[in-house]
Amino acid sequence: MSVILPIVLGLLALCGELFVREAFALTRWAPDFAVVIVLWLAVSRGWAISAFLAAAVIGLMTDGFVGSPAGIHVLQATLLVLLAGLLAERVRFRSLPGRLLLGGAGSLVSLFLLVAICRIFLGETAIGARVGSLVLPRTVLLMLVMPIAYPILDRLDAFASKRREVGLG
Amino acid sequence: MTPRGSSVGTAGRQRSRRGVLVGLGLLVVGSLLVRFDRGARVTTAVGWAVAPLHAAVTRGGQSVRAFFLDYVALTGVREENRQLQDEVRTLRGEAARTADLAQENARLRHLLDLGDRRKDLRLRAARVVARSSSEVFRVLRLTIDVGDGPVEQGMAVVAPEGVVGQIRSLAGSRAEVLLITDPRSAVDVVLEQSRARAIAVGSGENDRYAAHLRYLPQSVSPIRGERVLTTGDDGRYPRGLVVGEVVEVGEPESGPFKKTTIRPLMDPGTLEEVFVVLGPSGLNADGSRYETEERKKK
Repeated sequence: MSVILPIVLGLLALCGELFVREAFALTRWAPDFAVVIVLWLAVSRGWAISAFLAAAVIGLMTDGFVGSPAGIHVLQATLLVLLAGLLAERVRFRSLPGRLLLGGAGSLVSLFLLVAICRIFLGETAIGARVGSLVLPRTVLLMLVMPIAYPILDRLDAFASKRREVGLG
Repeated sequence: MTPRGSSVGTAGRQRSRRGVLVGLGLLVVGSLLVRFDRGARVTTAVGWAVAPLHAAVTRGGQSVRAFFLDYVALTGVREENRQLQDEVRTLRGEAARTADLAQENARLRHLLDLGDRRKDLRLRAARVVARSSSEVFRVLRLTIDVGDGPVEQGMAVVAPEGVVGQIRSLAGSRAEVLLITDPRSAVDVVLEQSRARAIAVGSGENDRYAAHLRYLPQSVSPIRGERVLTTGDDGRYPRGLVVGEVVEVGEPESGPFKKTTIRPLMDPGTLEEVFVVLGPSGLNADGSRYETEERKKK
């Protein structure tokens, strides 16, 4: 299992998100591409070590890009992989409704985790209100993005796996 | 990819357990990071590591945004420019029309002055619509409102500055005026100061509007700038209208008459409105009722 591909994808996702934010002056209605990668990682790889490692690195990079204290998004991404991996054994996320559910629920859970982590570790009580205004736009956007991004990420992963098998990767 | 669900075997479960252990370990590491990175060293290091990429992507995004905004702004400016140009054209048109109306107003006021000065004449206003393209034959074309009384061939046409000519032909509301500078025109005139009489005949010169005085006795010495007036004796032009002023006086020659050139005070090239003299009004020039000697006696 490669860790590099999800990390590179996570980096691209963060760059893409930042670019979209800057180019279109978006605030609330900016899609959280890094969460998309982490959710895909959790569902496609389950509780594999590579999934946790890649998610943690993506979380750390997110901290760097966002400017949050190092570890906040590491915890969020790791917990997301744990929870989504747990659900992936019971829910078929590969169907369209499954992907919509993954996007919607993933967004809600990721925001909830962020609030919880900040409250527990940083003692921030006001973050709930700030994140609250993001719930609807982020959830809608992730529900829209996930059905499109999921198959693309799957194909990229399959392509990278084939290259590794033939010794190119 | 690891297949999920019931197909997960023992090896898979073991991998999952190891994964969970790694995950839990990462959670601990993450917690410790958040909790104990008091000096924010790790945070700073992570921020520093991604800073160049962050800055580059930010610049890229901002450039795209700036380009987009500039494009939108330019589109707006282009549209605004077009609207302003349209507005300028409209305003220029209106300004030109207003200036034209102001000029016309001034001309008509000037024209009305003549009406006020010559209340002894029945005048009809007419508009100049064309000028002869010939330099030799000096003709103006007018439109006249003919519904308000008869306009006839031979009637005098005057402007505030003086005599213009006479109606040569008439067709409906259109009339052709033979200018006093046309060689076919002859006006019975008198020099204002010497009171010497002569006939002003159009010179027909192609480089100026002028008339020559015929039958002016050698004994008369016209002064340059002296005005030449109609006598009213030719039955066509009313008495006392300015025909022009003396511009050239010929050297004394053998023969009974002196050669003198006059220049009309009106400029046929710029005339736009004129009066047609319909005939006497029965009043004096100042508007008072004309009374014969018999009526005065009564």
